Amino acid sequence: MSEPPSQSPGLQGLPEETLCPSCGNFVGAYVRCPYCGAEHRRRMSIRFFRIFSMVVSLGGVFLIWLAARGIESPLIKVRDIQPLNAFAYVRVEGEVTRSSSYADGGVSFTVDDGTGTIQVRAYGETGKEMAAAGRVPSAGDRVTAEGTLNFRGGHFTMIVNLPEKVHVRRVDAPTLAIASLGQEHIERKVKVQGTVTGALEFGKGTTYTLSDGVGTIDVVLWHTRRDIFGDRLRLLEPGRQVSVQGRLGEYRGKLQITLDFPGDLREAGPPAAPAAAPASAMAKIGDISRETLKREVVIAGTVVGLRSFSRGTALELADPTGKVEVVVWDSLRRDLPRADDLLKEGAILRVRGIVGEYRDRLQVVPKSAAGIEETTIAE
Amino acid sequence: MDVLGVILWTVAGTLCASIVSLMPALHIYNVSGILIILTMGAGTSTLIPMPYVPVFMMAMVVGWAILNTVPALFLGAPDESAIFVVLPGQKYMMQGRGYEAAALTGIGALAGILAMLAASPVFFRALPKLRHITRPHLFWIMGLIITYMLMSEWPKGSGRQKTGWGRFIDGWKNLGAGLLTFLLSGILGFIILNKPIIPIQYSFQNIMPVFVGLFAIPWVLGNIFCKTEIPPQYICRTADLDVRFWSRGGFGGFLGGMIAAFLPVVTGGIGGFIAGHATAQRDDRLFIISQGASKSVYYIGSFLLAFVPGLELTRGGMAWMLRPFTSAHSYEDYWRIMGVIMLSGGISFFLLLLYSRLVIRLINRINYRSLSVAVLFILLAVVWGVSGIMGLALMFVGTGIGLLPVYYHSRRMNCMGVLLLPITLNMGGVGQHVARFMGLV
Repeated sequence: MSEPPSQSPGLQGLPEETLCPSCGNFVGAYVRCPYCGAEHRRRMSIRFFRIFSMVVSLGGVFLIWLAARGIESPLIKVRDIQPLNAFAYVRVEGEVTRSSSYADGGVSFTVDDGTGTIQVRAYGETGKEMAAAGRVPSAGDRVTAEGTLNFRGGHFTMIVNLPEKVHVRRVDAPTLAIASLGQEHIERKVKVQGTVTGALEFGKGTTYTLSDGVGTIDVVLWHTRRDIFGDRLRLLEPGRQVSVQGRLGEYRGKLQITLDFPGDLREAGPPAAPAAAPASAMAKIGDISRETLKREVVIAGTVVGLRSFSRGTALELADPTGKVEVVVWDSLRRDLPRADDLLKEGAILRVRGIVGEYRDRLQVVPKSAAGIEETTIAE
Repeated sequence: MDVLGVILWTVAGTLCASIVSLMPALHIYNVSGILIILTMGAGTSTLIPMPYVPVFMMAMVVGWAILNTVPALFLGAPDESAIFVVLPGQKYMMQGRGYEAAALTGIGALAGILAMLAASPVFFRALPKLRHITRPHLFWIMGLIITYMLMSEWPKGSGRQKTGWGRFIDGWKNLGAGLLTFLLSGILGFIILNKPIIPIQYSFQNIMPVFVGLFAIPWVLGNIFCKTEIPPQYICRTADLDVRFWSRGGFGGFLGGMIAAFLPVVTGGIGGFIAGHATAQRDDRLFIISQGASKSVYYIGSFLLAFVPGLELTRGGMAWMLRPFTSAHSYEDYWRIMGVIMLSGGISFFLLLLYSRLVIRLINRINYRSLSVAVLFILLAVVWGVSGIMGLALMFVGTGIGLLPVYYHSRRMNCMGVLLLPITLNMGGVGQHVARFMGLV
């Protein structure tokens, strides 16, 4: 009969079942000794925990997954949100009071549920997907949004990660006369009708001028939103009668409507007769003033100066009555035949474009390559 | 901000952390998070003068990073970053050298703090550039870390089976358990990050029950059911260590801690493990020192990065919690907070030795199994109190997953899949597709 192995120093006093019956080493949770390979079959608790861990982990994750699929995000009132709710995945419902979009495609909007307001944000890719799916609300719309509450700077924001978790119910605003718009309408959704009388491109978007015969207002379309309008952009050509809905804002003391969604731009009647369009007869450069702002003009003159900037070229066009800057965007220059011959000092050009203003300086901006032609002074 | 005030709030933060550290399952981020929300919910502090809030919080982090070794080592209730300290630490405990293991961990932490001080000029110059370079590549860097973590467990198996298939199954049994642990914890992470399992009144703590289940409960259960008896512990006066070992272990730990502090989701344990492999550490003493350094550099360093002028990097729970209340930092702020770290580190080291002596006296008088049962009940009570019945359910499932590596002999680190998997996939922009596939949308 063999003697049980003697216990190594430091292992005295350990329960017998934690030691290898063959070599006497401490084997802990092993059923096969890692030192000598002997089987150690009397470890009931180990066998139990092996089965327990496998069943609980597989079964538990499965049950939690099943339960999670059926869990609806709780609806929370803004008034009830407490700091201890940080990181909660919840739902809010209410009216959108403000909506913004960012250069990286992200969007944010403020929801008022009657008890308070909360800002809802969707970053880059999520924002782009929301825009493509028509899930970005504008001021005045009703919205339901699900996301994670984020506590920063003493106030909460909701971060939306999944575009389908934002449901928008568009609410049409009543049609107002342009002249009736005032400060009381700012940050609210408004709808106006009128004729497009001009367009001016600037760095990040285009400003269209809308006139209903009594008043005029600027309608802004950002480049980040332009693509989703597709064919509807034709409705913004000068002379078209349209109905425009969007958030009313103010820029440098002038009211403007921001156009966010294709559905907010509709045809309101047949295109206005060409005669009704703003004058585009040949003008003298000296006649261009703030009175002609946003109007289309045709001017002729000699290029006396040339300056390149990041997105285009500025020509100094002169005739005997004065000088004016003509802005040729790179996108237009690419479509212009013989651009290098035309856009050089000494060239005599006829330019059809919209009168605009940049940093208190008047300028004429051609809308298309056809708006720049070579001519002679005699003409 | 006067010097006396800085010293007072540093001492207060360290002492506060020393109390929190002794409570198994309580994490400093949970406690400080509740403290911040209750006293600073309105945007300004009602408890601590606003300029001293970062000082107090940094002292809390330093105290916790050094002192949480005590419950991790002696009570067997480690968090996700302390789990690696426990393995060789338990070995020391079984040899009656638990006090020495605690001291080595503390010595490692001090090495980590000194390394951070020495590396400060490098932080100022190199980290902003490094961040700029790595920012667009974090997705695949995280993917590499996961791949390395899973693949470096190979090969396994005793090779003692008689047939080829037998050896194949023997080898794959543990590896399969490791992969299963990572996958199940990752799925669990996806669910809790995408669905409100925890009632919203407890949502601030939505990840805590799972962490307790994955890391703390399996260890406590092991202590109870493996009938572990702690032999009498020897209080040593010297450590079996020389300067070469100390600096080598400290450097490896610093490297690991900084990897963890710099990269999102990677914890001190994972960082220390990678750095341990990179610096080829094999000795137990080296390992304990390196893990002590890694753990403290991870916790302290991730918060310290928020103070590096020009870096503006938010890593770690404390930096995220304080971010809304702080602004860009100057060099003066950085050196002040470095002073806080050193003062708090020194105090915490002595408290570590003191608490270790006290706990050793306690476990010599009280049956270790009874103590483990008490710890188990404390864990259950804390989870129930902080996250309700659903928190207990999540903890239960987390425990099942956390027991897999214990009883199928794979790495416990695989449990970090709970954060690594969902967050890495989210970084890669595919998280929402996985959530849709799982029917969570």
